[in-house]
Amino acid sequence: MPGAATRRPFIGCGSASLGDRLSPAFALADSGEIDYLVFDRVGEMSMAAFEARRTADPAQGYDRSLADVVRGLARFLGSGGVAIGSFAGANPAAATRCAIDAARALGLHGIAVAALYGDNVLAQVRDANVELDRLGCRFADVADRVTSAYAYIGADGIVDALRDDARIVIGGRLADSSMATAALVDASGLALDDWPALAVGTMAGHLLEGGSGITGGGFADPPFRPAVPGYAPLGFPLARIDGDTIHLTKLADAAGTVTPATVASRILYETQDPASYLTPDVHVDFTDVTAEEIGPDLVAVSGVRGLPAPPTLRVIVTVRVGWKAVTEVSYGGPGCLTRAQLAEEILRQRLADTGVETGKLRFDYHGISALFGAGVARDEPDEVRLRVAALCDDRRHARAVCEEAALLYFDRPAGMGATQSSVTEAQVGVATSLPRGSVRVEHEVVVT
Amino acid sequence: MRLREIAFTRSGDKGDTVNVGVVPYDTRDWPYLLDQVTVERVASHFARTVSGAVRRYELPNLPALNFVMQGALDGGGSGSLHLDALGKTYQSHLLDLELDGVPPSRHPA
Repeated sequence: MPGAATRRPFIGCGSASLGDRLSPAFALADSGEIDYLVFDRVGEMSMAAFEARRTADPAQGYDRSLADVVRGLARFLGSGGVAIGSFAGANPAAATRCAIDAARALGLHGIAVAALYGDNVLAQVRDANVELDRLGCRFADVADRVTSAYAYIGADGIVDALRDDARIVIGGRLADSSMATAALVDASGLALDDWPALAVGTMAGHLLEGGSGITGGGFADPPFRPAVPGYAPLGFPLARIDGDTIHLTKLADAAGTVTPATVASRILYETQDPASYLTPDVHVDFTDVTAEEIGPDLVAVSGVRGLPAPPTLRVIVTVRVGWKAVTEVSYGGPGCLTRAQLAEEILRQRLADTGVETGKLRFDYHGISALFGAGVARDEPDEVRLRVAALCDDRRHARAVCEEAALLYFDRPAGMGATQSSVTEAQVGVATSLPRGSVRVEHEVVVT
Repeated sequence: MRLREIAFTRSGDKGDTVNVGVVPYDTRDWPYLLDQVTVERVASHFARTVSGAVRRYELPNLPALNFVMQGALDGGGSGSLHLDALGKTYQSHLLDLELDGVPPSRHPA
């Protein structure tokens, strides 16, 4: 069975987000073309949701699709493959149990599962009374409304686990691009302060975590950009790293296409200043990145620079900010927009008259102004959907917004229908930071 | 003409900030994009929904532009009242940007 000494820096994308399709990951796993599969499962607000579930039930709060993933990777794991993913959510212990049970049920023995601990930094942000810039205050000012605090953890913890012979490594708030970086370090025996090499691993991870976004997903805009032909689910990308160059491609029989255009589109996604792309592992400058077609569905990416890792780790502190009410009602036929606008006027007045307190209140018209704000009026619509959204400190006031909106059915404008409403708790993820030294990442190994 | 005719875009979010990448279909149009797709024009185009600063970054080898817009998502997270709280549709809105003159790819041969 191949170990680290024989693993190649050939890395496949297992997923780009929670809930992503699994079949393309399994196709990569069974192809023989990759030795590592990396799964991005969390977004900025995901950890807060997992935390809430764990609070409600101590056995939950992790991504339960892990069991299906392990089952689909039976052959891959059996032949030496490594899977790394952010499946642990807020409950690494339960996630470990889930992976172990699934692997044992397949008859896979001697497989080490490692879970990373240390990304939960609630104690540290409390002790440091961190600044919460977005709210213009410090932790202590909103302590009773904080639900969680997680630091983005990087490749070092994953590499330690791999050195302990782990073949499934799971974490919670793993930085997306750190998984591929760890794979590169593991396969190539690199040092964790080899900044240029870590920058290449980071760019590979950034590209891979795009999933079908590299193979033509989110790309079609007919007629200017035709859709990838057919309806088969798009394949996921794989990266072969060779020195300072990433060769990005897909399986030959997978649907989709990899081109400099799809790659350029992905390079820019969720990035800001290209000279300053900071991860827990390295500071990347990809201002001069190049993406060159070197074969069918094969693009070479190079030109990234690596600088020393930042002295701090990015932390997201999730804070409750109230209750969000959203109600939608439709009007159709001639004059529908005028009637919907009358409904808006009435509702605004009604809420003011009855003392419903809304911190924020907005009215949008689907099809006209809901995405980009009110624009130049085009033709009178045949139908319009009024969306009312409010943020209230008090849940009763949020409910009152929905109730008053529902009562518009009995008020002046004619023909209101298709009402839908919801009241949910609202949270914001506030970015802050902690010194690297105050975050300790450890791993625990369980063997099947 | 509109940006949609000569370039494609991709948007994403981080907190309350949206970025929109712009890539020309034809690399000959890069100088034209640099000249026409300015911060001022993009900020004005998004004025109804972006309340913060807009910056432009250039990646000359792709080539591509990256616009970063703050205060774009009503605070982001589940406290945002914006329908598209992740800014995924912003890329399409930018494609409607009006440009002047004729890009090199459209000059008669």
